[in-house]
Amino acid sequence: MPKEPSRTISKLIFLGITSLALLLTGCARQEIFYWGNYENTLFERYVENDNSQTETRLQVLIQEAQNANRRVPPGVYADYGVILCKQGKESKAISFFEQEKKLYPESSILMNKLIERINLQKNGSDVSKSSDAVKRGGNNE
Amino acid sequence: MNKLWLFLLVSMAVTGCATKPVDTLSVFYAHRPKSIVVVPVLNESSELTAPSVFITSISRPLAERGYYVFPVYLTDMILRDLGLVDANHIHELPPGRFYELFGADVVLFVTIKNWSTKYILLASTVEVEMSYKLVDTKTGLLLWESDQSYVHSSSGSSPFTVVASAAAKGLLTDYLPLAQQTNNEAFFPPKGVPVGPYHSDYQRDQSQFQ
Repeated sequence: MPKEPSRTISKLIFLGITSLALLLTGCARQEIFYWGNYENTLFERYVENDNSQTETRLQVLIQEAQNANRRVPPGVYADYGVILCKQGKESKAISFFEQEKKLYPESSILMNKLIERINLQKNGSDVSKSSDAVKRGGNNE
Repeated sequence: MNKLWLFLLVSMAVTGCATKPVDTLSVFYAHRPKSIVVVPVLNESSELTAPSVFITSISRPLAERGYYVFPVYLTDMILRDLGLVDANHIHELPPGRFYELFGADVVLFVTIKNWSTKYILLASTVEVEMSYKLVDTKTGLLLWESDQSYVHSSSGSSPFTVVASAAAKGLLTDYLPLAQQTNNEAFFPPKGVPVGPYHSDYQRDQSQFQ
């Protein structure tokens, strides 16, 4: 009679340990970042010289990462910000550069430069300011 | 007596070899880089598309080692805007320049040594060979380097299908898995680069490297 419950308990403990181990190995294999189609967007842009899908793909990647509660990889928000900037959506671009900076403080120096450049171009109606912005490298490809 | 001397010599040689990588990594651990900028790849192969294919495969493994990796497309754009398009020229810039431009702790210089396909009767062999160097942007010190090559041989299919499938893909996509494999072997243990701050083993991974 007393043997039965103890066997069940040890069975339960065994099950618990196995599932914990499975869970741990599962976690260990998961990547730090959610990559989605990011490498595809790079391949399209670099190898196929086609950036027509880039904006949609980056939007999807960010959305999927958020839905899965995973981390957006380094550079994705910045990459998207550049696209917005080229479309003339400056304030939206700035908000994405800010997001990159918030998530990855290592990007601060570069993000601040990009934000400063946008602000210079936006406010710089006088010649000296705008030529300075161009010299720092506009977004012309 | 002779045997003893021989034994001592051999054991000295063995320990000599074993301690070298640890020395190299101690410089790395002393500098603790957090962010990496990957600059345009130097191409020593005859395949013109090699750098473009390769650059698409580099961000993911480096970031998964726990580093902030600057977006490669934006990096290229910024360098191009400054008139820096020639990889030879970029690789010769003072490393401090990459701190000024990007705020990166280290710069990764990659050279493609080989990127080729050989067809021998019924088989094809695809080869990639890469050299990687991580240089500290503040001191100019070489923190880590690695030379990796990867060979993939396929046989069994007729030469016609091998050539036809390669031609259909324009020989582009065939190399990508090899580049990924080469990167993984270069960056992950047992050789590999120590992990960065976004990795859970940060500063606890010394024992993983020989």
